[in-house]
Amino acid sequence: MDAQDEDNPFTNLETTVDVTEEIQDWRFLSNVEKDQGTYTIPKRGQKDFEPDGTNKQHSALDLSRKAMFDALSVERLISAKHAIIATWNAQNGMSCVEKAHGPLFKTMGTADSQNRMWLLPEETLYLVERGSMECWSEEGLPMSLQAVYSASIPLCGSLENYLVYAHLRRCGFSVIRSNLVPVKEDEYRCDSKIMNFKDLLFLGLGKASQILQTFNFRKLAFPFSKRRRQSILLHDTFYTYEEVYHDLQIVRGYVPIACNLITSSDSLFQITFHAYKPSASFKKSALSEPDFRICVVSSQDTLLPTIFEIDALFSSTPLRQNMPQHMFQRLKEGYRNIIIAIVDYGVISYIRLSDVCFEEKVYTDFSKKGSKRKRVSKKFQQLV
Amino acid sequence: MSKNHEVYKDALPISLAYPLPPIILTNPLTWIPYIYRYLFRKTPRQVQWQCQLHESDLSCVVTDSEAIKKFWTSGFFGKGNLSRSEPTWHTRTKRSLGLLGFDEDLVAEEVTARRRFQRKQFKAQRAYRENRARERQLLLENGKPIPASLEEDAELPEYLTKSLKDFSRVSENPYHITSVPNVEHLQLTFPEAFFLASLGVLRINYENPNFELLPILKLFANIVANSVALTHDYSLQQSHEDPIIEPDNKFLTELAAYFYFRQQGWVVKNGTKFSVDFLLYKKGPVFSHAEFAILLIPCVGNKQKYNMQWHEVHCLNRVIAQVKKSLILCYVQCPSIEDFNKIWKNQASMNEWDWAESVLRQYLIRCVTLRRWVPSRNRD
Repeated sequence: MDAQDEDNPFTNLETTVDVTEEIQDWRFLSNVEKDQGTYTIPKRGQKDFEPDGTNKQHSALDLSRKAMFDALSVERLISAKHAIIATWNAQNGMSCVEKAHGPLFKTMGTADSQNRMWLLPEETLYLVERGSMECWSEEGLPMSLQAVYSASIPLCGSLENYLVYAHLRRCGFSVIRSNLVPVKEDEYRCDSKIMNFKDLLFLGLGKASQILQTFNFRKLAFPFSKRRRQSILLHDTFYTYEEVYHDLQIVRGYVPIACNLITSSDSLFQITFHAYKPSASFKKSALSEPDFRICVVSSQDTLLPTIFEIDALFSSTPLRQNMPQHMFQRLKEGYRNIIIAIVDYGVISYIRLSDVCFEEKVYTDFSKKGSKRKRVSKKFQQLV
Repeated sequence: MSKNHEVYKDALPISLAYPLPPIILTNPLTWIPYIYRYLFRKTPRQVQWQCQLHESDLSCVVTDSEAIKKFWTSGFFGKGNLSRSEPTWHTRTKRSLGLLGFDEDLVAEEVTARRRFQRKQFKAQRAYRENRARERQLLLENGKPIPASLEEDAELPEYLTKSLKDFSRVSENPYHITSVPNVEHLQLTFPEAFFLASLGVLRINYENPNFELLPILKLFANIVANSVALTHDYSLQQSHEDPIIEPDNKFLTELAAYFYFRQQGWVVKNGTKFSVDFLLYKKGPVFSHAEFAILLIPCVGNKQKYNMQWHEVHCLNRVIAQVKKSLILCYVQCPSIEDFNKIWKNQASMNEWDWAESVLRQYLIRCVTLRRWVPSRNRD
């Protein structure tokens, strides 16, 4: 059966629904039985909102609408001793929390010597917006949500930065500003590889074999039958296709080089945030390598970055240490990754750019049954 | 599947030499034939196939059926002009005339058509069942009895279960034709034709005497440059004077990328139907679907002239993700104009292939993978 590039007619049957693109169905909140005290994780039911004239469809819509209204009509209450109050400090552009408690401060804020917690503008706005904190001004007046927005957005860099920050926070990531992370420069110094005796021996054998191949006694016997080069290949006799491909290595490909981390500041595209996956072992005082590096842009001001801007972004990212075993996985995930968050009037979409190296030889699969001579040539190719 | 491995076992249409005799190091008698065969190598004769240059549609046409078969089975080069990819018009025509059995020598287009018929029939059956469920629900809500034809386990009508064989039972051969000549030919794009010519297995024929002294690289670059100029200025008279060749000439950038992926062992096919330039197969279209979709973006020196808006990026990414491929932005980094002109003007004093190699060595291929990233799926 030939596998051609056509739509699989049964693909639609197996395609899983993209959960993140669905509009939330509020009916699942009705499953929470608060009165009895037993909490059950809500489950997603089957949804079929296709009115076809039957009462079944009409009642399905009514049930969902009523469930949403019931969920939203519940008043949220908090006790006075659990309330978190922050004081906005206009001089520092941050807010201060005298008594910080709750799980959110494990991944937010910076403590000072007097055991107070200082929050960045985006952290302040995020906590106020989700209803976890009250913010008061320096004059002792409570600030409205609009006031917190007005005070925080100019210090976040842009509204796009805050929107991406809040979205990643709601997804569970720990998000840190990239300029707060110290760059370890010693870790990624260029390493020159020192060849040992064994590698030099194989290199010598490979070169000797190459020289011997060009020597042909038949041409010595008939010197007048010399010809001009008839093709782009250097040799005219090949025993395997690997040797043909070896002669075809003409166009150069990119190979990622581990160099000192460079931070250029003249490009429109900069790493804005470092995102860490939700984990119990996350420590904001001892930051490890981030899982994702986020570059926030507005779709109205920018285009897709050019290769030079992409290269500048990749230059500020260290090379990945453990590459996957499978070739296709290596070509898809790449040596370095950058996430670009594109904000289009409040709608955020993310794309991932991977620095891949296509210097992988696919033709070695054609002649897997090799003799000792081919094993030597493979070793020689690896050294080159 | 093992048949495909046998038919398509050659990676390139080059004749390999007979393998060297086995050598046993402990037996000096086996050294003598090995050394003799190694030093007095017999070069196999390379068959050179003919093709005709078609300047107007920027392609080279192969009409020899032996060459067509060789180029397709040894590297999947070219496209049948009457087929989707592999030249299969002859087989499909004989089957439609009834000269071949229903399941005899199926080709890719026919397999696809049969799958689509199955899919269409399945959808019709599903719609029929949904309609009956709706009528059953309406009758239930109105308190009316349900007739036997609307029961849940009632049988489907006959027109929904008819097989494809029944539809195509009537043979369409009113003139009783018994033999069909194969009029299909193979079209090669310019990068494919150059690649095969550089291997020494393709000879390009043309009617224009002005092309006689030009090397193939310059010939193709001139034709493509003239074609691009014509699309910009229709009043320009098509003269065959040498146009000015830029480093990011369309043919040269396509050739650099095509040659690069071919030299790694990939099978490179055209990607127009998926809005990209190339598709990369690991072994070939008959073995698996293409893994990567390549979009070429040329850069000259430190400038990139062409760029995409974000909505164009998302449209393209949506198309490629829908057909289950990975989108690769392939940046062809061309030399600067001064460096390029230095090499390009050396053409007269160099061997054709030495010159072509020096031109191609100036290009650098850098790839960046572009994928959609969903935060809620990357939390583990």
